[in-house]
Amino acid sequence: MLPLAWSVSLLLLLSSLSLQALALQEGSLQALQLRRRQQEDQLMTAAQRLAGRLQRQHSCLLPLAAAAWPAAGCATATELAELRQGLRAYQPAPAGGDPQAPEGRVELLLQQGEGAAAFALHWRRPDPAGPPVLVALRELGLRQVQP
Amino acid sequence: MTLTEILVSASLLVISASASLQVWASGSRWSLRSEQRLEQQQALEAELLAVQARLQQLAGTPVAGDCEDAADWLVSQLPALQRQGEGVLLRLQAGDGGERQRWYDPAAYGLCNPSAAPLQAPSP
Repeated sequence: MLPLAWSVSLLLLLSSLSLQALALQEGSLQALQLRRRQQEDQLMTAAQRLAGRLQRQHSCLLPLAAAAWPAAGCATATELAELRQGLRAYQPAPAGGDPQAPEGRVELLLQQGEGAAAFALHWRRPDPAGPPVLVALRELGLRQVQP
Repeated sequence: MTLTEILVSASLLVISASASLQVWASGSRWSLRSEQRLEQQQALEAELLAVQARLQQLAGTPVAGDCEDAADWLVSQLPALQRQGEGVLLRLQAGDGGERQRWYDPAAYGLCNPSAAPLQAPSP
């Protein structure tokens, strides 16, 4: 009788503890998910700030790959350094897209802390000889980057 | 089987049953809470995506020459937004579900362009 009672009580305790562990794990997963979403929010905000800045002050850089920025001559070295903060990549998509085309797209990769996300900027030239104008910013999702 | 053995077995069972019941109850309370939190988080995400979808919809059509005017126009179109700096801020909160916050620049959506027509009448 006693061994049976022992086994039953052990079983009861173990099952309730595993249920509790499951609930705790669910909670921590959710906290993780919220943190990931908040990271996405921060990266989106950073992308908006960069896009806004490019559009307002350095629209000639919009269709160019980041490597071609210094030669474009529409931003000082300090401004370029500020623009490049957190910017891991900035290049036309598809690669080799014509900066003089009537419209185009660039993809950029932004990093903040441990998180990184990719975005696409769509631009258009309302006047074929005029500067490009941003028409949309799309999220392409979080990315893994080397620290 | 002695009387002592029966008594010990019975009390062991009673103690373990009540303890596991308590743990079980707290586990299901936790589950319920995290389910509610999940629902709130999903509601926030849906609201945020709706605002962003509307922004994408409006994108590409300049509404003002000046970006400040475009930001004011955006706030009138999307009441969830509020002005902050040169752009607009979306801040969503839901008790336990946490807080979401994103800042948008009308310039990133082509809403302001010096060569744009004057402010459009707000579309429905």
